[in-house]
Amino acid sequence: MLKIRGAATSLLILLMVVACLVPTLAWASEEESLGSVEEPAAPIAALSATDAASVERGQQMFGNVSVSAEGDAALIEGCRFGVSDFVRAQSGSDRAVDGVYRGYNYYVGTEPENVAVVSTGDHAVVYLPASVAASFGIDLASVDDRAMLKDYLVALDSANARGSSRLETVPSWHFTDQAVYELDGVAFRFDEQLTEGRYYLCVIGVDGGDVTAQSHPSHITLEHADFARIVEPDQVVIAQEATGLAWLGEFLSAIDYSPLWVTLRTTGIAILIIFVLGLAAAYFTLRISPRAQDIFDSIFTIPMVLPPTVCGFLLLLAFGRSTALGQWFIDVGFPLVFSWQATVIAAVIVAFPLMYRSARGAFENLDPNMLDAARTLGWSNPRIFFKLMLPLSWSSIAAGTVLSFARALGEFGATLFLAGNYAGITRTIPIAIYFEWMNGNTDVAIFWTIVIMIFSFIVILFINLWSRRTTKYRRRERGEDAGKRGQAKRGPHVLGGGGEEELERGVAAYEAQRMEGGAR
Amino acid sequence: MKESARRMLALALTGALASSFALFGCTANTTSTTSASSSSGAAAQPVELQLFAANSLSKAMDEAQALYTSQNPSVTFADTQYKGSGELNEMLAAGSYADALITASGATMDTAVEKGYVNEATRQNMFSNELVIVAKEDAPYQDVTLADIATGEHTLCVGDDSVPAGTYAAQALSTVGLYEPPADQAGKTGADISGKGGTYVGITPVLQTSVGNVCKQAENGDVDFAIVYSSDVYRFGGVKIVGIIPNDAHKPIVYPGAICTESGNYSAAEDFLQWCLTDPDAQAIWQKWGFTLAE
Repeated sequence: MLKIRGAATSLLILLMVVACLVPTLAWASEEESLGSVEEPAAPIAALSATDAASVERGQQMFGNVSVSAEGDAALIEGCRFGVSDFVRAQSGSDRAVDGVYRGYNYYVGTEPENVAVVSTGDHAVVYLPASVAASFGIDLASVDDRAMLKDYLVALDSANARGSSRLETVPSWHFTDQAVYELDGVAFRFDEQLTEGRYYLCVIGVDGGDVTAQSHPSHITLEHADFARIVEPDQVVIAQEATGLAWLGEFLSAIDYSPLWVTLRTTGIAILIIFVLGLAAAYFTLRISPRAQDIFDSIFTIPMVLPPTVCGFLLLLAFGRSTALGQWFIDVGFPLVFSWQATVIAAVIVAFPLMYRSARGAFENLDPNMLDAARTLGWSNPRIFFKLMLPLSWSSIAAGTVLSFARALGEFGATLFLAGNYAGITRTIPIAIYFEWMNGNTDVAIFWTIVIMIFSFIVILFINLWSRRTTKYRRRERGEDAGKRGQAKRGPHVLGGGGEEELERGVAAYEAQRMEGGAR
Repeated sequence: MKESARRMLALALTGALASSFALFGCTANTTSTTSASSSSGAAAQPVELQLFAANSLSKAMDEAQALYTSQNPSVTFADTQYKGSGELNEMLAAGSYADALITASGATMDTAVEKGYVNEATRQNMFSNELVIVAKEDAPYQDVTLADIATGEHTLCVGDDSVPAGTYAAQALSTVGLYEPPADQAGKTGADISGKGGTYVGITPVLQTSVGNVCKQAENGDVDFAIVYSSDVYRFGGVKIVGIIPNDAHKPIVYPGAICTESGNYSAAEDFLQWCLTDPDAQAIWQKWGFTLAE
């Protein structure tokens, strides 16, 4: 019977994982199709004079230009040259190179003879090195060749723009094959070798001044620059975007799994501490005067009522550098804040009340007569605790453990306050979700969300299965064992004589019933 | 009875203490190994640098660190903290360790110098950036100016007081009367105010704790506009620049960098910052992500 139930449980879990995976895959492919439809939408409008775009799945088309998934290479079908090694520079540098001011400069690479284009918003200056033009037979005087070059650059630029300025909106285009091009008092110096084997693009006033300064008479705003190499068409590699399972495999292999281990380590250690402390606190509050009980109960429960951020803030105040306690911990070499112990401390504080309350509720519900009977038989308190209280309230304690485990697993506010966000040290899954989203990695955030949802589902399922077991036995007990209970209620005197053995036998029978109930 | 109750409690407390000692034991090990590696000054010795950097630098700095490690295998980087510059200062105040700090405004670095978190002699301006108005990628807006925001017809998201991008935005918004500086700066606008401690007038912008979150609000379409750095547009995607805020409407946006006073890897941290500013391959990374190397 147990086997069947186990198989059913694992089947259910498997089903759930599949159920979670299907939307993920659907979402993944949706993402792709969205990407390939949206991206070309704007260029199509801009290049409406050219062909209508054919949108293929997993491939970026800009007009008649097909662009590699990486956005670094492009090819026009039938063209006698292709473009590769495309890079976009959002900004440059206004620093002196090797101690000499060379103007606003962009670093291009270690090879000369790159195609370059600089945009000032109103003007785009395109440089095609004369030697490259000659070897590929490109004539900058020809309108067709210019259009072809412009199509390439606009397509690649749009694929890399990501919401920034685009070449396609630039109204005035200038083409040159000379390394120095002057426009309105501004000199564009291409292919400048400023240091050994390092090539730059420099934009400087004809007078040698900084044209990006507002005060310069020929002031311009440099929006961005692009660099690329002209290659034979057969050397252009148009990489297709990975789709479906290939995409998923790529995605899963790129994920940093450290948040999972950090979470498991934190929760694992925290639950051990919570278990011991929770039971101890519950036992402790049962044995003190009612007035003290109220006070301690409030203290033990308050982390559950307070927002986790308040707990985190108080802990930070207590253990931070500004307090004697925190300073002492720093001095002895165990800084408590922003370390992985901090995640454990935060999880313990926040999840402890759940364990405490479950254990206390269970202890309070125990039949006091049974405990009194044990005492009259001379059982020591530890023996009563371990042999009577724990076994009898085990189901509640287990549920409390699982609940506090789940709470510790999802701890965010106090952890962020006290432990911060250090990958591999304090970045737990909830923190990873927030920061991955914040850093623009929405896919990864969704991945962790799915992981934690599956995990939570399993935990709740576990509690449900467990409570079904326990309630089954209670139902049985109510029916069949009513007589026995009635006897017990008559008082401890029933247990006189060989009472100790009877009590132990009673507990054994009780346990046996539970096991039996569980097996069904 | 009482005695045994006490014994129980003692047992439980011992258990708790033992486990906490085990915790400290683990840290003791890890800290002793890291301090051993950090105390060695020689370049060949492995060094792990801990950087605190402005939130906007996240992707670019990760790439730069990977490149630096590939060029100098002995230097590796701990998980760099990319937060709002004000929050980084708070973390240093709370006792967290860093070798170098790069903030997104002169004011936040001033605070770090004042409080003694960094060594002022090592302070230098590293990058500059631009303030822009962004909207969701497919939003219909274009050529938006501060005056358009002043009409109050659009929702807006900016950084709060701890976020340099938020203080720059407050300075810019004060030029169109949307932000009132605190009493000690009354009557001033733009670059003359700190952009902190004042109140927004006529609009109620959504305030966020890092420029990344500000940008996300626009990307999700929760607000019509967000005021962020131009580099953020490229960092996240999903948003587009709909307007550029004039440079004279706010203090110049500079990213100062400095070595922390508590750093145990002084020379290694200094070498890295210098490399960021001078190496052409590093320059390629900054220009790709939209950070202008400052003069």
